[in-house]
Amino acid sequence: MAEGTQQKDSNQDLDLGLVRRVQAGDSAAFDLLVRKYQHRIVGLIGRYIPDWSECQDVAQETFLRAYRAIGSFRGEAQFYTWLHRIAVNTAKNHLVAHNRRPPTDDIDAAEAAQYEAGSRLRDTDTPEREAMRGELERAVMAAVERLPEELRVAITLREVEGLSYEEIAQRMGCPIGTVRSRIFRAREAIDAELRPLVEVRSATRERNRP
Amino acid sequence: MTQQQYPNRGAGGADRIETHYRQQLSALVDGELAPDEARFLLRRLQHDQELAGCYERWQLWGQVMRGEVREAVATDLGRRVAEAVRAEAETAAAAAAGRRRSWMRWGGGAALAASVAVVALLAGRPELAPQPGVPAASVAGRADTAPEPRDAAAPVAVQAHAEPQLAAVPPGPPADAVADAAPAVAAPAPARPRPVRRAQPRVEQAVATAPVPAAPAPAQPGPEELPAGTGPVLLPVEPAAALAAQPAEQDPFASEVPPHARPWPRSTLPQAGGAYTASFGEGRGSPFYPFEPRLPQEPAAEPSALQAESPR
Repeated sequence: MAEGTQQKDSNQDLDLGLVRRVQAGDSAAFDLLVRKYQHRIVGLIGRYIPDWSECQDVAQETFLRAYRAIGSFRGEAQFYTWLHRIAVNTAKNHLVAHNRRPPTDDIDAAEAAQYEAGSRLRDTDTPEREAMRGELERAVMAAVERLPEELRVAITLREVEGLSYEEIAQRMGCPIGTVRSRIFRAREAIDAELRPLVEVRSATRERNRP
Repeated sequence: MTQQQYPNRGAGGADRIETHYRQQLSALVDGELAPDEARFLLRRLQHDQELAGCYERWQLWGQVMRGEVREAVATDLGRRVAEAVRAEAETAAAAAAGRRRSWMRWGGGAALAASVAVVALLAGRPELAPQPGVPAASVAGRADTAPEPRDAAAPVAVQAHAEPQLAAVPPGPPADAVADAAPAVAAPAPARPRPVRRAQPRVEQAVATAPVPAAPAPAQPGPEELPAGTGPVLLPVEPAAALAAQPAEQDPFASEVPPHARPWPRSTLPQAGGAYTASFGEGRGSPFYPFEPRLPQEPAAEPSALQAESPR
């Protein structure tokens, strides 16, 4: 539990630092927040709006609303929790504006973190889309499994268990610099395998977009 | 690990620099980068699209490993949002600049009006000396007995309405008697001689010619006692008896001390006895001439003689 809290703290610190920069007028810092959370937000909106193109538009509107209201974000909650609420409201407003009935039960941020909770809203998914969704997950897990032992342990302790570099160094019995290098090399290896997959899928999706 | 396995890891100098930045980016993603380095890296991320794409994908792989994301979205969403945010920021900046220009336009007009007002006031200051045509009794009454008003708003309003009031003044004794009666109804504040505005004698002449009652003026109601419909401009109009004694202190531009009586900086520096100032000394001490040979001191002269010798 403490490890999960630590992961949240490091994420929250980075998010809060970026938010403070945006509040100070650095709009480029907002781009990093968009890049970080766009996949989660689109996945969340996709549970309300089945059409992929509409999802993209509503996600864009969500981030614009967040940008306009970011001055009121005081850092008491996690940035993603705040963004999650904006996304849900934007999706519901979109459905109402198009004379469609929004779902009565909301998806809270904790549930959204576990994608299994939104099964009712995913009933509209096509089998092809469901297959593609599983494909990315399987590809990432396969890439992690193929890593050398020391890299796989280091990246798993960091990304899944949320340990700090110091704790990973103690767990693995190596200097912090070694931990930093192993995590970096693991990310490079996973990225080298999966980057073509993401880029091809994005290009295919853009070609099929109406 | 071979180069084919990790194509991002180059061997050249440029690749080594890029690798260094990616190592820093990895630490930034984990919150393990020093603040100074993080600040520089954020600045680099603003224009290095390759590095920004790396940041985005690494975040995605981590979220997939944690089960937060199962599907990647189109990569141009970030670009679309960035363009919309940039357009919105430019629109907001243009609106703010428009507001600033509007404010500066009005502010410039106000500053010009204030400058003209200051010039007009400064031009009027040399004429603040007492007018020779004013009756001596009236001036003496002002100089000796005029009270010092503490509420500045009421006298100004009274002065503004002086002429209508004077037209309706009932018959009474002459103004000399009024001037003598004024101390009885005025506050016993110490009075100092004050310069008089040029327009003031017109009121005084009217007061001097208008018959006014000799009895002391009744106590005037305060502003809180006025009817509800009375605005701030309609402050209680004081009777002519008070008006005869007020012109001296109603001038809001009158200085505390006549201008010739406070040569700078002696009045603001009481410790300066006059020897170091650029004035003529006024007999308070011998002037300071540092390069003049010291002569044997003469016996001190009488203060009255020194004052008589001083130019002023």
